[in-house]
Amino acid sequence: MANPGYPLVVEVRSMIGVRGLGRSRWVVLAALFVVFSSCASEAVVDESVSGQTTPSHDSALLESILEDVRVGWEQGDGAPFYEHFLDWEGARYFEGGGQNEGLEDLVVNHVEPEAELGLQLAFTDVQTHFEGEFAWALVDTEIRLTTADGRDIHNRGHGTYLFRWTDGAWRIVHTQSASSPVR
Amino acid sequence: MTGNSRPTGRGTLVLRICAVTLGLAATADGAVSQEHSHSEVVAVVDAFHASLASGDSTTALSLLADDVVVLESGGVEDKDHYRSGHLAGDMRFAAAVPREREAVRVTVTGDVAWAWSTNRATGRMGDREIDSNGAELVVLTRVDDKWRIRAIHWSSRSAR
Repeated sequence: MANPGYPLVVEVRSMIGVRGLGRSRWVVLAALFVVFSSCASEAVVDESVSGQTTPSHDSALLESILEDVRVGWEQGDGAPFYEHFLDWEGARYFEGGGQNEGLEDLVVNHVEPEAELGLQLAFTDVQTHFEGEFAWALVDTEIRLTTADGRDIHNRGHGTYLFRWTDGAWRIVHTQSASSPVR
Repeated sequence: MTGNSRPTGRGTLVLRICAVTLGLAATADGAVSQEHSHSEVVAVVDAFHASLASGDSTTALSLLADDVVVLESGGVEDKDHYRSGHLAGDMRFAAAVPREREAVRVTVTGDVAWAWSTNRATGRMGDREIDSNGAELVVLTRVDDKWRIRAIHWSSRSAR
């Protein structure tokens, strides 16, 4: 990134006519540069924040994403996952003590096979928390499916979804869920 | 303002060197600060586990934010419920069943951080033989320069 402090220094140098200051001019310039580059650094931070859409702290946005994901689980459809997950290097998605490494692993080896077992998934009581460009949501989960060997599974539990505000949208960066049989 | 006060070639070079130097210094500062935050987050997570293992409920609770949510064993607890609910059991379990934890992975974004790790717990709890793979997710926020735990999610499954 170009240093936005430089034109400011040149401008100030022009204004005060530093050409006639002799050897001390560099001392003056250096001092001015430090001051202005400090101001410029702050200006850059402000610009980068104002250049993006401010993170929305609307719970409905997260709930809508979770609903897309829930339907994706039931239908074995990877599309909502690729849309709403930030597929970053090192991403992990935990269920119980197991994990999927990366989004493709989650979709191909977890979402798609589980949908073939007739997965019914419910998300209820979504609690959202926002902290600037970060958010997390806790959900109650209920799962029903029939395993390949004919066992009926009916579990209840909880899920934690972490979100980061990226490119003007909330993206899921991490998930963890666990459930136990309904007795 | 006159036209003869434009920067000389040498002046431009010096200014650019200054700019690069200051830029590098700022980047290095950021990296050090980020690394420092990572270390602090890991220290809080470690301190929480150490306090559970040593039965120090006061320290354990002091590391939890007032609005913490603890998810474990399919249940969800706020701080008061955790204090009177699973805390005692977690301390007994941590003391009785050693866990081999893999490195904690931390992501810091401003004053929010999340840390996750996996572990293998083996031992005996009462008459129960424990051998399980577990995962832990901890969300922390920094207030007044102190990281506090806002959410914990533990899950596990039998290793067999």
